Amino acid sequence: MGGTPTGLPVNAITWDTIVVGGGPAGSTTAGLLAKAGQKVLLLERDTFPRFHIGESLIPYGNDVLLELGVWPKLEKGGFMPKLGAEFALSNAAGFQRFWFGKNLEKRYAKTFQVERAKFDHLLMQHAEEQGAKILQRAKMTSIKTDNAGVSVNYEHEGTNHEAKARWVVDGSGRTSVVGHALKVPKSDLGMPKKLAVFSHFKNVLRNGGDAAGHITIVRLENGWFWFIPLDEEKTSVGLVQTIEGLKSQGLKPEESFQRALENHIEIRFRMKKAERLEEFRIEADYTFRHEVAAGPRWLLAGDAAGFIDPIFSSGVMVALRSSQLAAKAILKADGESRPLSTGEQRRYTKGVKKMTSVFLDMIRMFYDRNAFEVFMGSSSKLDMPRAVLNLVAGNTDLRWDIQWRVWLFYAMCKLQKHFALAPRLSFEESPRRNVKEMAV
Amino acid sequence: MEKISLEKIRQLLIENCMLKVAPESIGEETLLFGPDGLGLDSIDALQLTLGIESTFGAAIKDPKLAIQILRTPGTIRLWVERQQDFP
Repeated sequence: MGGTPTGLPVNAITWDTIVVGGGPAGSTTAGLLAKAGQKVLLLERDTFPRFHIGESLIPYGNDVLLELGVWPKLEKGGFMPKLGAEFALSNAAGFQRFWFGKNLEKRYAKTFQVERAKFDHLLMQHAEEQGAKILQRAKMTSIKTDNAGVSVNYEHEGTNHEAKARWVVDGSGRTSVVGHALKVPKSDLGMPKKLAVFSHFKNVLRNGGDAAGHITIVRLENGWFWFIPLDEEKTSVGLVQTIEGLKSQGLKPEESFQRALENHIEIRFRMKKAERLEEFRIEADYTFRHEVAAGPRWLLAGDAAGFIDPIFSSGVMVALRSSQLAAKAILKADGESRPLSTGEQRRYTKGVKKMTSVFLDMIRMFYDRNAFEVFMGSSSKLDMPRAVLNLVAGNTDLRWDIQWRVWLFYAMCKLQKHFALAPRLSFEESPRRNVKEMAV
Repeated sequence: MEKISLEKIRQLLIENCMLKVAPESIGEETLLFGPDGLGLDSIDALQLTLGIESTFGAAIKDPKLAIQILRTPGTIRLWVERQQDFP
């Protein structure tokens, strides 16, 4: 600890870039910059490996993992290959399955389900191998930045330190310590506050064949479940609902999980033999987005730039891709010994916002009853399923031939309110007979 | 794990519907109704509902649900398997 690639103590040199946070956004930025020859200091407040929610990748993050050179490690890492995603109704009367290999380029045909403790640690170690200096249990306490660079104060093992650099990247997740310290304005994008209750289980029912690694989303009338197979044994299962909806039931989050299990055949079926491996965890999902994601010497990446509803597993993908953008912007400006121009700052903000905006449209669709009917019943007309598959796979940079189909899809979603273009969905459960008590 | 094979669902379709295509061409995600699917009609739907009840012992009692359940072979399987498990 304390040593640097040049053998000097951490605080005696000026770093090229300081990265705050060692999750996928931080480690990716650090890895890419170190790979390009920069002196990078990464400050992580926690000790890795550590638990994190958000265990499903989507294929459009693959490019960054390949560029980082970490893909072969994932292949060998014992992660569950994910070949697609599927959506079921809670009453089992409706199902839509997507295969990434169908209609997408080969490099997007597969990705992984990842236990984040392991995945994030692997990315961090990879960044270290690329030459980044990783400092764990180091908590940023304050930051100063101007056109020339940054100075970051942090606490490490009971003492305060100061580190200087030309650049700082905020990869600190939803807490966004840099964004917060710099008082960057943010918006909640008009999305209701939600809560997730989840745990890891064994003996959850798995799909057969190549669909064994699919993520399954089960849509309830007022919420949804995720089923993410993490390895041969372990499955991550969670319930997401609005805080308002939860309050109106008058139940604790764990109780509402239990209640949903009893009430919905799709959940009951999948959880029939399930055994919980850990305590339930609870996490609030508050959507927000910073209005500005970059300044002359600072950039916000991943959740620090904005956090959106996790329904389409966009979190890690946005972290990876925004970090790639951030690293590129830094390397270009640094090569010319100057801060980011206002144009570059704007372009970075726009680039990151575009990623989240594509998903926000999808998220609003998912929670809109009529729009969701079109999603579940989408016909093969005009090659629309291919367009929707591109969205589900995380393609946020749509070619024209896909883009107009996406617009058409959303137009149908709007029309569905007045005309049943797709069959109306009923979430009604068949009358229950002979249901055994279940507790997990 | 799937307990009901695609073959079994194809069989169900052959026995209960007026198929205009070779059964082998019917996949997991083939749409059964509508012009961009197999083009089955409401008579076929009724026959299918009865067929599912006699073959698998699972009765679709709500007509609203029938159209959802009979969308593709995959959706039929999903629903039937769950009914068999929690009769």
